[in-house]
Amino acid sequence: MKKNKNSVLQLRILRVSALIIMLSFLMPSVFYVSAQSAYTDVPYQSYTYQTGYNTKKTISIKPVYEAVSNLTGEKVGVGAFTNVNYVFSTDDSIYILDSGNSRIIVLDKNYDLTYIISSLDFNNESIDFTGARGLYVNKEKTVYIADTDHSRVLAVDSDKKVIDVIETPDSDLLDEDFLFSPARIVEDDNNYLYVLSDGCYYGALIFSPEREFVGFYGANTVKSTVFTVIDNLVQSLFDSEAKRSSSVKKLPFQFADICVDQKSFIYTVSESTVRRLGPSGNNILNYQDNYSFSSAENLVFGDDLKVYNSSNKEVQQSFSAVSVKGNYIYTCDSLSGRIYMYDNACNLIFVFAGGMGEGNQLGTFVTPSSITNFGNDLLVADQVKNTVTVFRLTDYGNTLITANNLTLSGDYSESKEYWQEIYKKDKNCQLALSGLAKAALVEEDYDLALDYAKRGVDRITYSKAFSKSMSRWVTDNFLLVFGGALFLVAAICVLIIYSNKHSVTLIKNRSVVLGLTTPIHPFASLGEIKYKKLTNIPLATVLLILFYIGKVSESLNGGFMYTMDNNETFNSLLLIIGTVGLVLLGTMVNWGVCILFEGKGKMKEIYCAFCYCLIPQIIYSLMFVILSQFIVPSGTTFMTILNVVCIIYTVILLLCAVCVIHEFDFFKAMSTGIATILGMVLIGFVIFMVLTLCQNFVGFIVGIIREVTLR
Amino acid sequence: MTAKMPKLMGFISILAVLCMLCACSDGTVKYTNDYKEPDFFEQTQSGTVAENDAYILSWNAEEYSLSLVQKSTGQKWSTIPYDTANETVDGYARVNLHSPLTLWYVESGKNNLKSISAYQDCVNNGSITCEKIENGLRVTYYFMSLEISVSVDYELTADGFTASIPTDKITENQQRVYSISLLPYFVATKNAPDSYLFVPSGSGALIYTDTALRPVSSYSESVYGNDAAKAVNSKINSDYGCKLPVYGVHNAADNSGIFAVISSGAESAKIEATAADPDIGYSSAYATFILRGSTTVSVTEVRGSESLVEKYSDDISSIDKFTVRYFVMDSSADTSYNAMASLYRDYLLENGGLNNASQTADWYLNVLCGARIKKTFLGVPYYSTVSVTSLEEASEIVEKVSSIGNTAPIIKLSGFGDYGLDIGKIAGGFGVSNKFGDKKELAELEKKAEENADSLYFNFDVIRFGKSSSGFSTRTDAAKSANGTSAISGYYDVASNILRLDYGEYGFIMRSKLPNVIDKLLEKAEDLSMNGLALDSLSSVSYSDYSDSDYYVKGNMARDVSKIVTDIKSSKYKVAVSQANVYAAGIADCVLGTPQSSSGYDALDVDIPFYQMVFKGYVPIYSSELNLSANSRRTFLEALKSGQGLGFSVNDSYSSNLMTGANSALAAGVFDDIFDEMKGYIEESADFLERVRNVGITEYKVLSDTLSKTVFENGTVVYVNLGMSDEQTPLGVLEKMSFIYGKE
Repeated sequence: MKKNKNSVLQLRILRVSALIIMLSFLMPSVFYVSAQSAYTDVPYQSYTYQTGYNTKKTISIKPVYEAVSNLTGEKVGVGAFTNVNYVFSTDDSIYILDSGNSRIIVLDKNYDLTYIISSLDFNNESIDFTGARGLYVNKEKTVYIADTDHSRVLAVDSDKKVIDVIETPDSDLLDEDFLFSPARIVEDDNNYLYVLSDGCYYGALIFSPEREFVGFYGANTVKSTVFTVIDNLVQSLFDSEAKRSSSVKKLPFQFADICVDQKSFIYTVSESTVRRLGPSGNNILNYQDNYSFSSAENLVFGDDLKVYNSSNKEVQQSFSAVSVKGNYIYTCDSLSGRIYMYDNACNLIFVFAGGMGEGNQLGTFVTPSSITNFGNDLLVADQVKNTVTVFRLTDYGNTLITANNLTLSGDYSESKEYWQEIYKKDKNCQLALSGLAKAALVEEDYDLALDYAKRGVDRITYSKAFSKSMSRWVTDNFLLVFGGALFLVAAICVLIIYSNKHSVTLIKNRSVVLGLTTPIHPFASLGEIKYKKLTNIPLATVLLILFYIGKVSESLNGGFMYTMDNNETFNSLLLIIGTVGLVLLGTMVNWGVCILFEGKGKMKEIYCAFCYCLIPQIIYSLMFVILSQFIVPSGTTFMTILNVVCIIYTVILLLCAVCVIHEFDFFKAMSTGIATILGMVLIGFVIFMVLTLCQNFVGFIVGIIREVTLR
Repeated sequence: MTAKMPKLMGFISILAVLCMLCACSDGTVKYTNDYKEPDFFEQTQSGTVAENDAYILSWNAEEYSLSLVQKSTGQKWSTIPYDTANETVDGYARVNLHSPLTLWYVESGKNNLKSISAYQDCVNNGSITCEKIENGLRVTYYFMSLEISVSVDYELTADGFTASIPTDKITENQQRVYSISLLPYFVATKNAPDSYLFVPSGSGALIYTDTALRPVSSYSESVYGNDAAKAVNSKINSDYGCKLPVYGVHNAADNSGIFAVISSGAESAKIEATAADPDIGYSSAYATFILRGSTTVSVTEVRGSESLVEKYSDDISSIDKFTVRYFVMDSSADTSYNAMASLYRDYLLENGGLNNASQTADWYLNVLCGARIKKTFLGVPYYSTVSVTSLEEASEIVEKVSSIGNTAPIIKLSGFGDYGLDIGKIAGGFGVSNKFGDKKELAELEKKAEENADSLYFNFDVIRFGKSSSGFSTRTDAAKSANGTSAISGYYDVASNILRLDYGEYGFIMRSKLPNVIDKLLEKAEDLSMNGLALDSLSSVSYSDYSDSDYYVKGNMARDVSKIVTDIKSSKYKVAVSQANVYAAGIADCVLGTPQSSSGYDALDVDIPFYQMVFKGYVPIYSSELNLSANSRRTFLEALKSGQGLGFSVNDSYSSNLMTGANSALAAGVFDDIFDEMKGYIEESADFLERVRNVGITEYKVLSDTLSKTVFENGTVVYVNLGMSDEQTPLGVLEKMSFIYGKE
């Protein structure tokens, strides 16, 4: 009868488990989350990414900039532009490099034509700079032109006379076949000239104030991983000379653009990286992510996901231009046409514009080549459309920048009213929530700071506010805390003494008692279970389910400061595989392996023993969920130690279980344990292969059906 | 068992072979008439083919062109825009200017689209026949190299002429017609300063034809927007589409003008324009009619990579004919876009496309009720609708706004169905979800609105649905795409641009079932004592349904929606629409949200409020929601340019769980947060809007890039300055980003 009840229960558990697994498979197909911009009066999307969780999600936000006009040669009154390769601005003028027509159009603050630099004279010779790709104007109004096609840099004074020509440097640092193709130029406060040469991956060429070649500066490096190192090693060992010579050598990306900020620091962009170079050419751009302050060298700027154009082809990230104004870095992607605005702490403020190489609306691009700030405007040149698009800071954008500047300079209280204004207009602005949290923190309104920080997923401010809040609470309630702790200790002591004296039995079922005491007396409990046949499958299954629930709780119900998953990103399917699936697989494989080693354990004994061994993990999950609510991340070491201890303890319990259930000695248990792990890997691989084959087969069938339908 | 196995295997094998054969056949099924060339291309002699009191329509047999002559002035318009008797044009320009049609066709055996002009394949070969019809001429163009023929009926009317493509006269063999551009150089002008083309992109826009102004530019936009049921693989930008099926040209040199109205088959048309092409010398606007629908399907290649294939419908649209009506404008009078707006308004009034509804409110409030968010239970995800404005809270909002401005607002309630603002059951389940309140609270809200003299509209999405309910199944009642499968759409990720079907998908109700949905809606509306229905999606979205050739290429959308709106109104309900196409906007009680600008294409030089000029004074029109625009001040001023009421979107609260959801509007409209700004705008504009309430626009003038002047029928003039510096106007100094009004 009991057996019958057990089997019914088992069947029910199986059904429920199956239902949960099926639901987990099905749910992703009805996920219903996405973001579409409400701001339909701009033809492109304006968005940012939600930060603070393991997976980034896009958030539509109110536009910080709006496109107001397109400057064309005809509109400016100089005839059509041909190949607008560069746009540069000083405080009062805009310089448009109309490369195809070998001229520079200079506009005033109102975008009206001031003059044109077209016919240049040098030593009574007319100089043409068709094909030039960059220019720079210094404080003395000297215009430097990167005359790419003519392998020279021209310096033109305010009288439009060429005062200097820099040609291919004569230096041992350069290869004999080095081709000097200047594409971008900047000058720092010390009059050093930095020139990017097309095809040069050594970094920027530096010229002294006397215009002598000094050397290279700030080259990118090839990022390598352990795998690439091993791969290179293997190739060097086994590849033939011919194969080695024909293989493509990985070179660092050359800089696509360069600019200089007010403090004379050099910024460069290439592919998906932005760098701020220190005096020695190293990247000094930093960012903060989940309590750690690290170099932005490995930070992926731009969209850290696959982006598609209208033909459904993936568009790679390729920054073509950079501009810096105040605390903000603006980069432009030549392929997607998007503009990314970061602050100097590498917080992504806003992504806008676009076009994916086919932009034909205001604010969208085909191939944006250059970007520059001009007052509150942002100018973007498109070398294919031959336009310079003017983006203007919106009122919202203006307030946001003011607020963020105050926050970045530590004036949290002053920033508060601006952030409140921003938050009123756009509740999706995470920066506003973070700014308000910081303001509340300095104003010692910790509850408000905790609320804002949690909504803005700002764990650093949250943990600071939490520490302060806890300190305040403990100080205010010291007697209560101290008294409560004393009472608790006393109560526990009394309980232990009382239960020992009176032999209190909370649980009468022996199999349950044995199961639950396995972590305390593994050999005794498991021995009794095996030899007295006291396996309890329902208890084991409950523990397994608790193990899964514990892991889910660790991910979703832990303290905010520790939880990196949220409902949007959490994948219950992976977790089921990683918990329940792993235990079931381990049970089966261990049974199979141990049979070969003359193990005495039965499948249900192994299953029960393994599940009982999970108790430390369940306790850890429970402790994590409770402690993570109170322990600030500075005490994360304690949580890590606790986790490691529980894992080690679980492994030891598992070894004990194998010893007892299969009647092995320790070394045999170790070896079968290793064999079990290998077997699990092997079966996992086979399952993966079978699933891949099934997927391909289903894809093939679907393909045929689709083909038949379409014909 | 074993004896039956071989038979079964044999049957399966035969079935498999048949399937393979089906897959390998070219699969062409013909529905159009077979192409047949006449033995002799019969021509009509040059000369008059029709005549009335005002015009003469004549045929030129040498050039195969038609011309229209105004008797009173002797002014002449021709399908070839220059005087062939005195000028000669060769090469590329001749091919374009002498071509009465441009044909796009689907190449036989391939899926490529190719184009050919009638000049290349018909005019050059003389493969054209003429046949006299009542008041005009039927000209049939034989594209001999393609074995396709297309007939065009040219008919004289009292104010110009019409050109129609009767679909039953189209013949084809292996090559299949995709689209036809009709008279590409009739609505044309010589490239010159101050002349312009008018196109109805969004609110309307002008394209100047001055070659010195910018390089050659091309424009193309679908009439009534893109086909919503045609899934695009990635969405990289957005546009308003053409809300009105009209276009025109104004020639500044002789003050001539032509205004064209697509009077039949507009849904299947694109309006295209080419301006300032120095190689042609002329700029023109024209309609291109798409006859065959298509859908883009993803096919897995041998190596597993996906490629996109365009699948075209076998049949062509069953619309009788595609017609463009050309109005030639009297050069002695105004021929600008102002006159075009007036002309179109008269046309709509004459054809029953425009009511005369009275405006009582100067602003409206779109109250958003809720949306779906993702939750988990023990790690298993599920979705739940979260309320951001309950019915009770909506009543409080109605109460709070009752004292603002000179009039009570119009209240529109959106997202009150089971899925909130997200798309789930058809028409949100035809009622108000109990998540937002009960019947008593609904009655309370209706009572409160009535007391405050607010008009209350309930917004129902009657075309999109993602879940079967109320007898409408997503399997059997969904519109079909051109390849016969259910048309599916969904949300596009703003960063990756791709359609995320895993995030939820929705279909469109079968076009033939639309009346059933409306019947059900009226039934429920009566139960809930609703007086006003808002039909935002029905009025702004047009879509195809390839389950019936009546609905190919969005066919008959205007007819169907007009009938629905008329039926609802005749059932004593008031109807509000939003971003509406003309067929719904003209006959609705109010338009809550109009396009405030053009779609911003590079080809467009100046935006004009043509849409507003047509409807202002006849249908109450309101701006799009100010708090949802990139620059609310700009949108406010754009609204005042044309005397539109103001719009706002509000919700009572906001949950940060909605941050990554599909409805970012909720983040920008928390009532308490925007109340002061809203009140400020309403009070700033109250007197002006009162002055121009129910008053039409007589003239809109672009004074500079940022300064405009609008004259209303009662003599009120408003100057709007969108620039960053002050401007001097006859009414005084106008500060940056502000407006001034009065009488001159």
